[in-house]
Amino acid sequence: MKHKHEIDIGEIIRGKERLRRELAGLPFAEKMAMALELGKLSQVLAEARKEGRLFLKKESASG
Amino acid sequence: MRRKGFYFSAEDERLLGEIERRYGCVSESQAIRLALRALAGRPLIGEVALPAPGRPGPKPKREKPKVSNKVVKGDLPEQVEEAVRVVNDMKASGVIETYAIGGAMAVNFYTEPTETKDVDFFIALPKPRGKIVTMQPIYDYMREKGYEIRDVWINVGRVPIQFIPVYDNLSEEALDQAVDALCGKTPTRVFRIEHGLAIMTQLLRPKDKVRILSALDQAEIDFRRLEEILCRHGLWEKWKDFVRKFRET
Repeated sequence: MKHKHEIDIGEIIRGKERLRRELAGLPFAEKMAMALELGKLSQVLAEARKEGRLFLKKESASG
Repeated sequence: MRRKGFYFSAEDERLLGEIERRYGCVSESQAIRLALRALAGRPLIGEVALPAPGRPGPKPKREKPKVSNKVVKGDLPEQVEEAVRVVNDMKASGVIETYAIGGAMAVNFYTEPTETKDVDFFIALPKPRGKIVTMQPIYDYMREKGYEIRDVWINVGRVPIQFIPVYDNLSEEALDQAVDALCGKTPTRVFRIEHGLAIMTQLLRPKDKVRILSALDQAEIDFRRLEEILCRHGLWEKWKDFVRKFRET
């Protein structure tokens, strides 16, 4: 029996693949809009990082 | 008499002396500059108004005319469709000869959406009368329609679009062989994935590498066609090198 917190990596990968296929099957206009939104988001994050408003959390050596 | 790159007659000399005296010029060249400025600013009708003497001040800053972007209604997918419709209209009115969507958006047509900041329209312009090809008619057309122009981008609502004239044999071929597609209900044309891959191989910027890998993973690629295109445009070795490096890592 699986532990309730156990993560099924296979399930995650399958879910990711399913999501990718679903996204790839979207109408072109929807995909274009999504790509632009992603581009905007990435730009905002990059600016925030540049201005020091956002930090990527580094994993500590001890874990 | 030839002086300072100009030919002067006796009458010119007299006039320069007069200008020098009347406007308190410290040198003859200052008088010449004044006279030239007056000539440049001379109205077609009316008196010649000489500008005030002295050293020319700093150049006035040219302010870009503030153009408010035309309001495009609807959510983002509708605005994207509107952008395509605008370009179709532009083609119908003869400003551009033909077009196809290229760049990241063309790859997105075949794969899951990946980030991009604009929509690239590869275009063929009507044959120019002279030797100079200019994009000015496109910007004039869009400005007339009320769309905001920022650098090379034109904002149709929230959708930044860019026009790229085909620049080499590969991009010309990609435009010729682009496939028909629908953006919402609006017809458009998109580069074939094989041409998209060839152009990305040509550029091979970091983002191109990511997109190539994404397309290899998700898109249905006609590898025979791709090989033909890459060989035809001298990119086969570059492609092989990239794929080999990718497999090694």
